[in-house]
Amino acid sequence: MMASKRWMTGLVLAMAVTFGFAAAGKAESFKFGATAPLSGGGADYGIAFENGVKMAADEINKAGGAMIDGKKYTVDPVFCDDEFKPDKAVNCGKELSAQQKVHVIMTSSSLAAFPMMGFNQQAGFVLMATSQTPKFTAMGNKLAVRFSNNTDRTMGPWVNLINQYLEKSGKPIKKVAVMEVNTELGKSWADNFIKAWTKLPGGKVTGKASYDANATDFYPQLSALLPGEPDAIVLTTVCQPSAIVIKQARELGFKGPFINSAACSGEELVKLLPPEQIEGTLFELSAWGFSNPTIDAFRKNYEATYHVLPQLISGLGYEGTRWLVRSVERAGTIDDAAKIRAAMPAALAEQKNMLNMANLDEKGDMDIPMYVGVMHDGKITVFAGDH
Amino acid sequence: MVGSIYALIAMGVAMIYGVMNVPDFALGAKAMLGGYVAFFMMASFHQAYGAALAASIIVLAIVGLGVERWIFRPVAKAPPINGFISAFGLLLVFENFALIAFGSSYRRILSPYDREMINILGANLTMQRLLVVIIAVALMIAMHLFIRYTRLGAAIRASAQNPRGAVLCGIHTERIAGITMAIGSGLAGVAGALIGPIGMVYPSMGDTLIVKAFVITILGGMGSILGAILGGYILGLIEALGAMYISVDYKDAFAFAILVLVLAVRPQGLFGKA
Amino acid sequence: MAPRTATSVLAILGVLVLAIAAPFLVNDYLFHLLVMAVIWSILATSLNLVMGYTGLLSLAHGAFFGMGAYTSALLVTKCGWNFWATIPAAMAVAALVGVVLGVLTLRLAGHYFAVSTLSFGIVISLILEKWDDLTEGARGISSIPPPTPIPLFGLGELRFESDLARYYLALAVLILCLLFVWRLVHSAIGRALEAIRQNELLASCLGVNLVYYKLLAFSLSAAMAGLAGVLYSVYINYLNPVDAGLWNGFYAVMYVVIGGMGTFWGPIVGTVFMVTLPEFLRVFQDYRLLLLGILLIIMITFLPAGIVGGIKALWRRGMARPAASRP
Repeated sequence: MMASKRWMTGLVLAMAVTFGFAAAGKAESFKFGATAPLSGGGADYGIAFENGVKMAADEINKAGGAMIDGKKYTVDPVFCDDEFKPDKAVNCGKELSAQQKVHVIMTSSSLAAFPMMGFNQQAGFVLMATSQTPKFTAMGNKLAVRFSNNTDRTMGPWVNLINQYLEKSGKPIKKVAVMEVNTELGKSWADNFIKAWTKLPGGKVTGKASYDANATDFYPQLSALLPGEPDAIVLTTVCQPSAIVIKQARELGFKGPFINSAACSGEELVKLLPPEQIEGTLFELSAWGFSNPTIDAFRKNYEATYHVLPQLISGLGYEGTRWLVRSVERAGTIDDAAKIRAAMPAALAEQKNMLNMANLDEKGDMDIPMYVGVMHDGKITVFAGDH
Repeated sequence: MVGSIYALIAMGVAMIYGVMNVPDFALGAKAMLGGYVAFFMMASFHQAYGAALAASIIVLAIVGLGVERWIFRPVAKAPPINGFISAFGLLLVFENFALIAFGSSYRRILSPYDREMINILGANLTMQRLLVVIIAVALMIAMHLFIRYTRLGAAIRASAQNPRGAVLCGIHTERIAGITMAIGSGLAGVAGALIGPIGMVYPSMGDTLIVKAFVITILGGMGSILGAILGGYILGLIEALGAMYISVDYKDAFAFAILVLVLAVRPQGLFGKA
Repeated sequence: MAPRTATSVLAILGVLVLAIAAPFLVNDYLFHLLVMAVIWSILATSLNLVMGYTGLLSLAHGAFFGMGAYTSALLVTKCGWNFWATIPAAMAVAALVGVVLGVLTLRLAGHYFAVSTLSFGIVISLILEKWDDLTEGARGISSIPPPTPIPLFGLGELRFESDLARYYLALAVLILCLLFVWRLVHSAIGRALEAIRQNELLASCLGVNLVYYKLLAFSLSAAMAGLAGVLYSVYINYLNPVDAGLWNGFYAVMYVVIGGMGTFWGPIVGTVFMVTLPEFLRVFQDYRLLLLGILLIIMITFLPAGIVGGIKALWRRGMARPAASRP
């Protein structure tokens, strides 16, 4: 009698312990979707985004995961190749929401985001996009959020900042020529730049040439622009092609400085070109272009994990993910899109991010302050203006 | 200069089409592979640019042999459109293989010739650009002589003109097909290696190259290697002139528009046989 | 073509019933794939008219598709037109472009023709991309509204906000197109086209007016492709120059050839197969497109007449055997 009773107790105890451990060790997963061009011409950009998202997810999971409504969750991004085509992006959006049942999808381009705006509210997912088109937040979509800057808003102040710097340092840059990359980002950036630049006293745009994102020979465009004798050439794309443009412009005899959009930060450019070639070049710096402990740590970590340099889009993917997780934690739910969206402004405010993104408004726009960086002797100094 | 690259690939297209009646859309991807071969050669054996070029030719020639044997020979008896689909499938395979194996970042081939600038007739060129033109022209002349004056070249011409007749003459057309593909692929490979230092090397770099190469081949007239060569230079010239004088934005459109118009007036291309 | 036996009629009816009931049987994702398959089928059918029946490899159909889509979208978003009025406009524009291409390529054949269409298609898509004052270029046209509601006298309106309504619209259009192609192929025009495909020289000797029939085939095919584009634009609600580009043209050729060029059902079979296959391959992540390429090569090597062609061959072999085994 005693023996069997003890045996029973032992068994029950063992089962309790096992189940206890199982319950404690078993973590649910918070799945969200992320689309990017992972093949074809946009692969470099898309993979940079994917890596940024993965890094954030891995970091959070290593630190114990997300704490949502009292339970631990592993952060599980589900990636989908949108091949940089709108209909494939919709394929991704539908697959992620209908089969994977995610309630948040991050996209890395307008081309993927806009088509999804047709059904994200009805399918119940928050759509996060790095779109630069002002229209994205002007369509009344209650679940659309931009996690990049809106050049419509930031260009004017930034160009004025350049003007301040030029006046202060006595550098005569009045006429510029624009090398516009043929992407949505490049075009809307260039449009806004030209609008703002021509508002400056004496500001003139002597010419604008566009090129395809995967072009590597810019002699035709440069040969067409240089006769206009611009004081500076404006670049609108990421560092690797920009470096080629700079190199070829120098070969053709252009001696002036360049003005770079935020897509290319000075740090990367220095690794691709000798300092004399980029002396005096101006950069649109979000915090991405700065050197500070957080960003440096991110860059080192990224390079160590993925063996390539991170791009701005990697930083956006990284911070976007961190912000998303914080929002979900605050909202206390992984499947109520409206609640997640509602928690986003506060989540953004309370979590330090390396790009200084702030102030998410009801339309879904946020502020990312832009500064002017000046390249001198291979190093960047920041000009923040007189505030 | 860019015209030379197109012309090289166009030569490959023309040869392969002439002999095998297959539009090899994967040649652009082979150029890309040639670029990667050169990149890895340069990374391992510094400064050996000549060796890198040679390696790109050899490796791609071998790839070409394999492709002919395993991919195109099985569909040789089917309508040519099937070969088109096979080539397209091959393009997907090569491009995505490169993406998986080498990653998406752009690779820089540091050629020793890329640092010096020289001035020719008032135009500034890097040594590399001049080199591209010189090597391309040399290869084209070599090819022309080969096709015209050697027995193998004659055999290739015979297979292109009349496959059945060639068989009757005792020419082993299947082997000729393999050789042709090897040569065409090798040409594409070296084209990729030559443009590497100027542009960069990345998995999808072959896409625009192949489209333009096809345009040149047709512009010059299929079956005419001379036509392909001239077509390449004409294309490059049109693009540059159009960009300077008409509109830089539509630069890419000129060449294609010219092609359509030329063909409307002269259906066999500029130098093709009617 | 399609055998007129009772079984085949039943089969067609069965597929029709399935197509109508499908939205209620599958989840949103598969439903979306279905809608895309219907829209691409219209494009593939239009291409088959020129490729399969007239024997001309056209790589420009992506451009016709895009022209139709852009015409409709621009008329609705920038000029406030009623959607239904834009359909004939879009088809007319696409047909016009088709005629232009036909005229430019009249004397070409084989690969010359193909590359000319390729170049033409590129020029069109480049214009759509660069002329951004008109077309918004790389920015794309966003928030394209669904088709304008149709008032049903006394019974309210037929609205198209839901995906379901747009699916049925596309399905109806596909059926109409198929009926049209069926009638065309079995008419004198169809025979003329077939003659051209077999042997142009002979056909013209027999009195077939090559110019007339080629241009006719082109304009009809382009108009249909443009119609597919219109349906696409109101379903995806967003247009980008990429949609008028090379890739759609290539894909269309693939759908037709893999399905079975020159067969009636080939384009649809090929489209359904090629729309669903890459999606199923998503499990392979990075290797997805690599595998797709390999599968394409294998399929075209072992099924040179496409899927429908392969099925027909098997059918014929099945029919032949009983005769052979008769003593």
